[in-house]
Amino acid sequence: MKVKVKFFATFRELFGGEAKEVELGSGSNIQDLLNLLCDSRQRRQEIFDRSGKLRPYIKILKNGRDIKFLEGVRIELEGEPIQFLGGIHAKLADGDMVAIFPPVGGG
Amino acid sequence: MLTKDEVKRYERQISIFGEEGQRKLKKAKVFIAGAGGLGSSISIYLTVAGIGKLRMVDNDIVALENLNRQILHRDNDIGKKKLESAEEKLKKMNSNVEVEVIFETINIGNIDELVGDFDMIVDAMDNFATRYVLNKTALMRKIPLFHGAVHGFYGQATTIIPGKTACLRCIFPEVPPPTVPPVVGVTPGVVGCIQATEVIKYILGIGDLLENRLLMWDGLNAVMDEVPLEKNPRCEDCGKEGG
Ligand SMILES: [Zn+2]
Repeated sequence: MKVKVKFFATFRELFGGEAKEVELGSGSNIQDLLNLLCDSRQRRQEIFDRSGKLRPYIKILKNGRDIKFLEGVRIELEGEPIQFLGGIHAKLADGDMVAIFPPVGGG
Repeated sequence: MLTKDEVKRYERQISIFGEEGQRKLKKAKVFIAGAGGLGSSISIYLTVAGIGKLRMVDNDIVALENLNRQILHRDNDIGKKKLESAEEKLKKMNSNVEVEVIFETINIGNIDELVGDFDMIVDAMDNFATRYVLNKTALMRKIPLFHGAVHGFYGQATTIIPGKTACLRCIFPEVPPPTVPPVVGVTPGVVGCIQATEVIKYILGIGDLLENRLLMWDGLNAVMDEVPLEKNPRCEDCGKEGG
């Protein structure tokens, strides 16, 4: 499947353009997309912290909605159902549009 | 009431929104947090537009490295309080406007007194920690907050109407680490002018405000994008469970 990614502000320089089309395996989520995009040390450092977690101040929209607000995906772990918040686990589908924002904080 | 001089001074905008609109601007009291890059363009354009009262709060001194973007200040202002320099320039631009300056560091303990009975807050800050203080006060008083921020050639702006739109904490829940971002002076020029435009429209009650819309300005590619925003029901500042 194909997903369109839009970068904003300094991420346009970091990822080399305003937008990119990315080919992903079906069933991929935002985490998979970010892993694929962060193919250099610098890119990984800007997006993830040392423990590999998405930096909390990076804003990501999927089809215009903040991934923090997306509904959870129900998965099972060792037979136990776990309700995951959407967030980085939000599933992607063909044709989805993902937008990624760095903090802009100067005055 | 408008004086004869004021009717003449503002004739090119009175032709858009009438003397009634101009009187609304004259009655408005606008609080500007910060007298740096954004604060410069915001305060200059609100002054020449004929806002009745401007109150500016800042805690900084003019330095040489400010002058690439903080267009209120001149070479010979270096070492002065930014507010002293701002007050002097703004009063010369339009003596009809009451400019009040308060040399203070904004914090959660003094913001209420600083804002006083002002009608709206314009965010011209350079850090998110203080922006959240402005956000809380705007929510508590149910007055609008006009957000703007810049980085390099990039900038963003949105208009927060408590009870109606996402608040700043809904949009950016986490404080980014403090940095000294690069800034080209034209960027706070563009973004500050967008914020000042929003203030004028809000006072006049005309046009469409940047409500639940984040305007992203990319000066490097000369592209403006609009991003939809929504309230976070779990927002710690404006959500049902939050403040
Ligand atoms: Zn909120």
